[in-house]
Amino acid sequence: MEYELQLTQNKDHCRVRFPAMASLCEILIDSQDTQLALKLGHLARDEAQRIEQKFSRYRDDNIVAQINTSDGKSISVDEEMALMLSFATTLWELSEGRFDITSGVLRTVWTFDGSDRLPTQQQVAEVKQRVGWEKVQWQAPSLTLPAGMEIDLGGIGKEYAVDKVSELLNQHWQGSVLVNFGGDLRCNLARQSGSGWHVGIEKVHADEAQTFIELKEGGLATSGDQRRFLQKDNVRYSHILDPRTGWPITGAPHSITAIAPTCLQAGMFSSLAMLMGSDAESFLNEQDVRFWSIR
Amino acid sequence: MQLKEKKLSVGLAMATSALLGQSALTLAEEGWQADTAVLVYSEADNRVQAIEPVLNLRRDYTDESSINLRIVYDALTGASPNGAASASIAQTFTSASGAARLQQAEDDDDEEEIEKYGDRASYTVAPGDIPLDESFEDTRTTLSAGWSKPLDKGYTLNLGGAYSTEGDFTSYSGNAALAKELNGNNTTLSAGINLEFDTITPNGGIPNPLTPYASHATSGTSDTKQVVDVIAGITQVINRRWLMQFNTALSQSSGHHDDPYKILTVADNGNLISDPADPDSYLYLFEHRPEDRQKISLYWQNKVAIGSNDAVDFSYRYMTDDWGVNSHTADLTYHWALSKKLYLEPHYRYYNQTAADFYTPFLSTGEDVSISGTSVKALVNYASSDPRLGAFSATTLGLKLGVALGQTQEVNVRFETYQQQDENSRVDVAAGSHLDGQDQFAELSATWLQLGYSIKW
Repeated sequence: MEYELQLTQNKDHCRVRFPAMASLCEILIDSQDTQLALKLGHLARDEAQRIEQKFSRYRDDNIVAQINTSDGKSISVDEEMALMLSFATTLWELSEGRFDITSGVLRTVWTFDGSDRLPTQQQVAEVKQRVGWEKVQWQAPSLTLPAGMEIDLGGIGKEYAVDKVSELLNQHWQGSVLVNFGGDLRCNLARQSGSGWHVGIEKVHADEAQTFIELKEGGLATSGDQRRFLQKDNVRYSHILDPRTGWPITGAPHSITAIAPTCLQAGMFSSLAMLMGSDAESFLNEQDVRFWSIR
Repeated sequence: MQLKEKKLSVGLAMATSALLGQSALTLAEEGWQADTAVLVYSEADNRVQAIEPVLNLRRDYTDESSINLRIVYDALTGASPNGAASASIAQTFTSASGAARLQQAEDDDDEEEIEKYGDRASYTVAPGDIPLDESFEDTRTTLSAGWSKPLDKGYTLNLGGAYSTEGDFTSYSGNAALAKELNGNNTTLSAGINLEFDTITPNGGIPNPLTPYASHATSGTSDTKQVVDVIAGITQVINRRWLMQFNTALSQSSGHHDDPYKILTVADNGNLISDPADPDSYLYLFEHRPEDRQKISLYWQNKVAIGSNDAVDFSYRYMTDDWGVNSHTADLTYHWALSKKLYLEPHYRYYNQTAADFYTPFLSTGEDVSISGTSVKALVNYASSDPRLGAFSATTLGLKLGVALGQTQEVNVRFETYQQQDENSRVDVAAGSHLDGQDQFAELSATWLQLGYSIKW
């Protein structure tokens, strides 16, 4: 994407798009006022880029890079990072280890390019030594990661950005805004007309009918294996790896889209459901979460 | 009291709200909830019976505001103490409500009603029995509405009103309260005020206090009372399993407090005496209570989660007023989740109160009343023999069973028994007199059964 910000005025709403977090990010504003849209668009873009800059593992100049090159030394983090790490810890506890921000290093042996090249047991066992939140010492504000381990906030970062941007915009304008960062959404309240924003649920197969839902308030997030998988001997290995074994989850649906009060919660529910494999749907039913599952 | 079994959802919601620095993001669902119940209440010794259906409707909105509407209908029948003392001789009384209904029936020329109330206009109490007015019959309807709305910066506003009407009594009230969350929702401070305005229009008019029953001298047909209550409290989450609340309330009631149907026996050395103005009747005086009543109460409550699905609720209240009544209430309920769909709630409550300063089971000539010729003069300012102002302790034991029907409905049944115990000091009377050896306090015992049904949609 070459542009920095793109504003479109439609019949009953405005849309602002900007690049961030390797996705198409947009906000839909329930107003015709282009000045307002521009103002909110700038606020949204700046906050999204701030969060990306801070939490991305692809950069070498942020706190994450510092942590990932700390070589076993303690690193002191700021309040926002501390909240993020505490959140990750709670998720790790609640999910009984399935959600683990140290599992990113598994990607060094798993490349999900649609081919049939699976790693060996040996390779997986070796890299698994460097996975496991139980090996980390975290006591705010000090984090100590054993040498060779890394943290990856990719599983939380985008949803966090969606919620932070949504709440920031709500402080500046009390009308309805839909924040959409590459399919992770959050809406603060119903539109003036009383209805919500019409959102299409991702299809797996191109020839499927598009499902639309109306989002009035809350968050929506999708986890799936659509674009990244390996296939060997007719078994589809999703790109979602179980940190406890080092191997991909089998029996998971193609994708799960969940709705919850915030994008973070929706994202966590959809990710955790995928991590439950064949129990994805019953897990979400037990938790009373509204969701769509594609198998 | 339903505990969340969905630990993950709640844990996630709390973790998310901590990360985003926001107030609780639990599923503020939008929806209705209706609770209905029917209570059947029965006092021992053929006293009051009541049936009380209740409907409560609540609507929750996604912005966490809610409205609540409640309708209660009471139909009471039976007998209620009229305040006179039980004696070793028979006593005859005129029933104000009976007489009123008889008058109405005669005005309407309704023969059936005349026959029904014909002999209820007056009643005779056998020796040794507590004088009870048998024709007590009343229906009461109460409507109340409340609105709760969360505001900015952790404040919540509550506004409400209620209206209640029964044959001879109408009450209007309005209330407002403000609550503030602090410490990441672990502490809530609240303050509120309630204003009530009551009008009483007794059958037969407002009796002149401390004047003879037989003459039934009245002043006016109705009178009023105003009550102002203010309350302040704090609720604190002690830890993940324990919630504690402490509040203090002040109440000021001004106006007409006398019960227009309650009288006191006047005894001369323990013997009933004739009314000088009406020698066929014994002498009884209408009661009188002060025009002002100030109460202070302190309340402490704890809710503790036990195991994975049970909970215990324990509270204690101390109340004191300027009528001399001090009371203690201790209440304990245990919520026992037998399974996902079934629970039992045993309940125990202990209550104890001291008597009002002007409480007395009967009046005595010479000390309390002076009689010269046909003139009867009370020497006390206030007097009442209403057992509710006497000294007593009471124990309530109950058990509730609840069954969940699917995800949205519940049926429950509750059974409780109540037993009072007299704690008054006995007033000595001359041996062999009418009041000698008689009960001076009517201990109340009652049981009730309530069937309830709730549904959410």
